[in-house]
Amino acid sequence: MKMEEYLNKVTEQIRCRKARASVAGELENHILDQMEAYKQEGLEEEEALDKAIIQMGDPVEVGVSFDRIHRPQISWSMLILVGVISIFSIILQVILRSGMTEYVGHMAERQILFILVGYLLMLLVYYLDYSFLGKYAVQIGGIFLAFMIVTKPFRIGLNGANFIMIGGLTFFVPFVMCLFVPLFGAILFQYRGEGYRAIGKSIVWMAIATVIVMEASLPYAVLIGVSMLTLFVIAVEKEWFKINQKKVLGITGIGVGLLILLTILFAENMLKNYQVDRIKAFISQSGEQNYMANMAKMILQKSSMIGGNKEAIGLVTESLSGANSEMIFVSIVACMGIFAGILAAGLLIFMIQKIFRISFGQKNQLGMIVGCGCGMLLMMMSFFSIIQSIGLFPISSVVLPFFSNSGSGTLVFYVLMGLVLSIYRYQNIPMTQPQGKRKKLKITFE
Amino acid sequence: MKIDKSLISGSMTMLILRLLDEKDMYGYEMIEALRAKSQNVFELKAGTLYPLLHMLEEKQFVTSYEQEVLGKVRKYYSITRDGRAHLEEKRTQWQEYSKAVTNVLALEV
Repeated sequence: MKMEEYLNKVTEQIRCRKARASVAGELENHILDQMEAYKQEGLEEEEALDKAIIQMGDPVEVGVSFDRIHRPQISWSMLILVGVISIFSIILQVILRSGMTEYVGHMAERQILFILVGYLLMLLVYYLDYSFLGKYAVQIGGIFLAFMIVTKPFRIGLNGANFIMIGGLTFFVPFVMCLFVPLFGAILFQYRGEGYRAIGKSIVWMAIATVIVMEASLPYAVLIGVSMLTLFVIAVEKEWFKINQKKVLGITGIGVGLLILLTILFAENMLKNYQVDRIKAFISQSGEQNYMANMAKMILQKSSMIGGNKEAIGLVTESLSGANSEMIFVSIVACMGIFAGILAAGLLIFMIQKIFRISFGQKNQLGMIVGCGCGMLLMMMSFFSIIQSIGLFPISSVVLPFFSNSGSGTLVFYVLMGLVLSIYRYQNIPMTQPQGKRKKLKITFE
Repeated sequence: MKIDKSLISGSMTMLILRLLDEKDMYGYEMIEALRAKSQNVFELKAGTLYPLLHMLEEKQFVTSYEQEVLGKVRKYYSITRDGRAHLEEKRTQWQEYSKAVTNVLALEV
């Protein structure tokens, strides 16, 4: 048929295969409209079609101009930004390594390796097409959580079994669970239009995931839980489920309030002893547990504006536990100066702001919600890690993404960034379902 | 009267945004409206219009959505706030330019 021939010629010029169906559908509609108009002017069917096709313009030329627009995009600024953060982090590890004991020094070397591998992993994820998440999120999510539950007896770790070992690598459970957050976004996307059932199912997913994390670490359970809840609220707000928004948001609010109340009431039972001590110490600003916070404060006071301060570096490497993990921000300031600390925080804020800009700029709603999930996690971790380092919050095990020595967790952060880049990559490629499929759906409804 | 192509192409973005400023439209509708309003001067080819629309969408001057009308799924385009701002800018430029051209043409040497 002539029409098909024409459309094929156009779409052949578009290198990005994913964009083809939607372009062809739109042009086909146009040709049919034009043909109809010519028929009303009195032309025969075939003649009308011929004229309508000629009216479209040269197929190769048209195809080439579509090709120019629908090309995979690369966010150079984001790649460079993550690169700068990575180099910053490597320099920090080199400085820390020189002052540390052999064991910790070895950890620094390992961390540098993780940063480099992580960056490559990010590029790999960037080339992956994330849209399969929109189709199989429920299945993948099910396997994911089942895997976390089944492997529980095989976990290892010093303070409670919190690590999964795969090959020679150990994975901290909360870091692995970070990957579930964007996946949860995709699950919400899949539930669109399912009404109140979707709400119930989403809550079950959130509850199971949060409990899995809580068994390993309470602070991370809060971070991951809040991130998922935010995605849920976005989905309700965007009317994905076709339900009474205000009612659901109101009930969600009450539910969260009750949960917080329960947590406070039973805090003593839920928290481990050292956690209770830390919080008490933070509130009273005294006690043995406040030692770390006081040490951090002292180091920050001794630090120079620009460049490392010998005394501060000495204290970091000898007396500050967590200097290379949850207290890394203190180390940055001690080893590279207050200005470097501000720069590190600024770079992270800039990156996170970019993630949300990319996400909310998406027309593709799957990309929007997955990107928001990545942004929420990185934002909350960065925020809590920095405020606990400067003494504004009780010290917890939350690390600073990309800077802290978080082993395999480093890889997770890069994967999250890879997802964001992948979302950016496909943003100009219309991926609506081909028209044929839709028509079939309609028939079943009638 | 046949008009030189290069004269039209530069201002086509402006004309399309102006059309969408009135109401949301689908491609065929735009070509028809353009033809009617310009008294057959602008015979825009669909092969030019759609890539242009997609480009405007990429720049976030317009957004699109699909809607079923009389059993047909149509892709409607709608102007955004950025699009309106861009239209205003182009319109001012155009008015200044056309005034200048008219003035020069009216010169009696």
